[in-house]
Amino acid sequence: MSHVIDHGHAADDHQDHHHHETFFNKYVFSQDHKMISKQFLITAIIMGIIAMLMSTAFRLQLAYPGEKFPILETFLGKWAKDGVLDPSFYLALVTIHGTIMVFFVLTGGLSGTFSNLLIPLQIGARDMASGFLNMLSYWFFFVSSAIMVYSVVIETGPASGGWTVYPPLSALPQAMPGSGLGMTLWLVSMSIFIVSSLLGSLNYIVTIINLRTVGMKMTRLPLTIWAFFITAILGVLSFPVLLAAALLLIFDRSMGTSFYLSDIFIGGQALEQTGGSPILYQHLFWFLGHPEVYIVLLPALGLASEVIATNSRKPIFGYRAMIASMLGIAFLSFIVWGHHMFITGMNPFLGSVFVFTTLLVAIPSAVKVFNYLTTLWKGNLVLTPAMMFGIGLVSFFITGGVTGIILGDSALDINVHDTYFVVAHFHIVMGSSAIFGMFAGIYHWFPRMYGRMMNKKIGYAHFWLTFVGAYGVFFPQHFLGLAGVPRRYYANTEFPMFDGLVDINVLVTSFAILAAAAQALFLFNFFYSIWRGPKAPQNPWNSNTLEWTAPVEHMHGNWPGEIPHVYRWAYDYSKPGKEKDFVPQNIPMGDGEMDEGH
Amino acid sequence: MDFLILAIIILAVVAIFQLLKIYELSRELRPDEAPVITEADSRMNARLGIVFIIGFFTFILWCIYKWGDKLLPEPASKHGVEIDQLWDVTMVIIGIPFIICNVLLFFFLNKYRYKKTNKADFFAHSNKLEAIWTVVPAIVLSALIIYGLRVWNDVTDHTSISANENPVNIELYARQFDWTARYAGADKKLGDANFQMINGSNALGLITPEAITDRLAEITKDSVALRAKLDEQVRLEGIIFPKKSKPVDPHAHGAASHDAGAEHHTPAPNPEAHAKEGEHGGGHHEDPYAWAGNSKPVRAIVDELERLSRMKRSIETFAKKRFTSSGDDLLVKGEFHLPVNKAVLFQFRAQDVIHSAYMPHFRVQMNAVPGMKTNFAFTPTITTAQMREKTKNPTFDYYLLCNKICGNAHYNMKMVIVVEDQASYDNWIKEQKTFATQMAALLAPPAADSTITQTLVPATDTTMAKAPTAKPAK
Ligand code: HEM
Ligand SMILES: [Cu+2]
Ligand SMILES: [Cu+2]
Repeated sequence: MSHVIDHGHAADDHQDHHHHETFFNKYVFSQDHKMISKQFLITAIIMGIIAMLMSTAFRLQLAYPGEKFPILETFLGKWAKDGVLDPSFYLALVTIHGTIMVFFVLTGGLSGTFSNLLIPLQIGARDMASGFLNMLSYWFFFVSSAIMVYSVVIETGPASGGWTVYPPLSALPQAMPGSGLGMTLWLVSMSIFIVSSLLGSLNYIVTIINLRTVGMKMTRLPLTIWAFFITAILGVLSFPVLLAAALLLIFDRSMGTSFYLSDIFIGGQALEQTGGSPILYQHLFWFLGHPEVYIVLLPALGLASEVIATNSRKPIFGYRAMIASMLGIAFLSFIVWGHHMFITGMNPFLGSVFVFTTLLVAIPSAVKVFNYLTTLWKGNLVLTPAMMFGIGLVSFFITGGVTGIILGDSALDINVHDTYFVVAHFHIVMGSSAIFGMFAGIYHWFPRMYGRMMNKKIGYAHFWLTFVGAYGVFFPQHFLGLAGVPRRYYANTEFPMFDGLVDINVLVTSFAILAAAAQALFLFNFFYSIWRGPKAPQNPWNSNTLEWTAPVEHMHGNWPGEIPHVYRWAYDYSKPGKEKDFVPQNIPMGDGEMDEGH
Repeated sequence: MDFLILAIIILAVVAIFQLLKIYELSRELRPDEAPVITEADSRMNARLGIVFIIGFFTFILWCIYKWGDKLLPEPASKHGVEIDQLWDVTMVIIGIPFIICNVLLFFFLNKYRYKKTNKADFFAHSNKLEAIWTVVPAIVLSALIIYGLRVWNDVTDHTSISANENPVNIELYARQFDWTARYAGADKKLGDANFQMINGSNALGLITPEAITDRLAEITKDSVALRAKLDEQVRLEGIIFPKKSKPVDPHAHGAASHDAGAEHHTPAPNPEAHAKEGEHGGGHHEDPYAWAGNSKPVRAIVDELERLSRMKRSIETFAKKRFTSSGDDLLVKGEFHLPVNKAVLFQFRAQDVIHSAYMPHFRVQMNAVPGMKTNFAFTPTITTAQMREKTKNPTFDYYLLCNKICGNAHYNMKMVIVVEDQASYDNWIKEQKTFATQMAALLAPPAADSTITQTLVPATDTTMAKAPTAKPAK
């Protein structure tokens, strides 16, 4: 392979660099993928805390509509006069909560952290293909995060039209306070975010294709890398479409075009912007929006695959089927977007096509679940905290996945579309699964990132409280949806038909507070362990992948000497005839040994 | 009470947190404890897994027991029954893997948990197994897709209803933040509408000859007022017009007005001329309002005048075409009635942003999108009175909700739906007023209390209605 770089030479280069390292280029404008990964992680944790606190605030309003919570006034000031959340700020919080969770925590945060950390280390590369673009990717992410957070504190409030920001609501400042400056900032922030995501994704793709070490065939890549690879491709193909949608929205908002506007009378005036279609925006948005849920989910599934195989001490079952199902899901995810639009008045026949493609996604998803279960079957399951989060992910993926079959069936969607049933569905299958995948990744690779161990007992407590909390929050929301409660409602007090449901909301809010409080355990464990955790051994989980062969100390270039060569796939756990229950990828084949990887 | 629960939960978490912290600190004193996972760790978590899965299913049963009667209320429409059957079949199909997979997951966790002496089975793949769990879901899903699409076709097929069942035609019109129901009147058709017709006396922008006159008069009156404002502004800023100019050009008139000094009769800028000029102008980009210099207020007024003039021409254009008058349509707010067992064909429109008409009891939902007409047809089968009996709830009502985020009061955008027998429905409909009568009442010459009339009918002056308006552009 001619494109394999000269590793020996690269190693020398890096020795030189070492001397010039200053605080700034080590911790701030670092081009080292491990440091950038940490920057992404810490930023995502902060964004996650913000979004979580927002959800607790609006959950209080839903459970105790109109009751006074002075603490809200302390934090939100005029948006919660006398401690009662303002309706417009309720919508603002919901919008920013969703935006931050989906894009900043689970897209930027999840991919940014683990693609950066694991791609070079697991494929055996000194760093990303372009350290500079990688650094830019983080700083664009940082700037867009800062703008998004800043938009919350401006006078007129942040964007409030829901995380999908459908026009005309989002296009017309007259329509709601959040559609003014707040919406502009949202669009600016997201545009910068998309640039960050594209820079990152291109880098990941190029690195995976070009910088694999000797012997690391595509069919020997750990599933994590396959997941990051497919995710990056999804991102590169779909985010530009969102950028286009956002640009057209910017034109409509500030240059008098009418891509999305027609026949509108608002603020006492008939607008002259006619001829556009609000539905066009939805097509463009969901052309990204649906792949986006897999951009969020696939890395989490990849992390879980690795964590589950390692801790089951058993090969992942059906390695090739796992890759094929990820490719299948990725492909299908581009032709199902219309399932978000069944009731926009689109032609029923077109709806039928989307029903067909959508329900097909259930097949590769089912294959993944069955393969996870078979991986556990007859394993020797070491229940590390990471493993528990991996198991939690599988459970959420099952529970949330099956309700997708209801929402994808247009006839059934008529009645539950835009209700709490949808909120329950996507929080379980996308929100909780992906967050649990992220936690699994953090607990598993913490030793690799910081050279220390996290506390396992706190880890278990964190897992159980979060697991029970998440189910407690999101499962009962199915019932709200079935009773007809719409989402994005400030209160359910205006309809007598919802009177009997207040106690579901109280229950949900109690679990939400429990789950939120449990995150304090994680934060303590995480930050405490960075400095005070016990020193990690070289390969704490007896794992096969290459990252555990690299020294723990921070260094450019990852391996001091030559990069290890790879001789086998990543899943030789408990291989018959071997003394230990794992055989790392850099161990040459024994006599007559067969590689399962192909 | 609820606060108590919350407080207890928070305290419990804090307590666990503290305990763990103490544990952690005490552990510090025993250095070099291997951070590995022991058999005991695995056993504890595996057992908690069993507790969890039992607890989880108990929790679900408890929820169903407690709130089951509120979920998916009995369908009150023909197609609702069909949808609910599909729902039940789907629930069985997804319920089985949901239960089996979750149970297996936690069962395996316990059965195969780590023991020092155990060794995992090296089982990397099996074509047979993988084929089974690709093919079986594929078959089940195919069946579900076919079944689902048949229901979908039935539900969305409005043409056969319109052709065969002589449905009641109703429009639901959404705006921030209320609904209006419009019933087709004597001609059994929903008349035409246009958003440029919307004003204080015509919230739906309906088209009737009277409404057109009223709207045009309103525009004329607005322009007259604006022209006066323009003159005032021009005088204030001391803007001078160049001598040579075309007769229609505003500078000529403006200049004249200074001499005459009679504001009210000032023929002010004639934006129409410029709009036309612009259309034919092709290559030349001369600013017709160069005389205004950089004066923002003047430019703003001129722009507004141009806008009014364009709107007027647009209204005049469609007024000349053939339209179905909406004068006979009945407008109702607050609640609307439906006859039981009779097909209803709904049309949905929106004024400002996207809304969505959601009637959960009838299994109906359809977006109302500005610039688009959407439809849904269904047949209600249970009257409100019958439903009150069935649910043993004497105050039960069907509701229309808004189910697409549309602004601050999105959560409070509703209408009551009353389903009743044909006779009661006929009586009710007889009492409803047509748009023509409603508008006439609003436009009636100011009674004693003129302030009220003015707020109801902003910017409408009946005397002006007779004044000649600008001729339509040719
Ligand atoms: C801390 C736990 C969480 C709680 C208690 C929570 C709760 C909620 C609630 C109550 C809503 C508003 C429903 C409505 O009024 O429409 C909501 C919206 C949303 N949440 Fe969460 N959530 C949590 C975590 C997450 C996570 C991890 C994600 C990641 C996917 C997420 C993504 C969203 C999205 C996309 C929306 C929709 C926003 C919109 O309607 O525009 N949430 N959440
Ligand atoms: Cu989707
Ligand atoms: Cu609405």
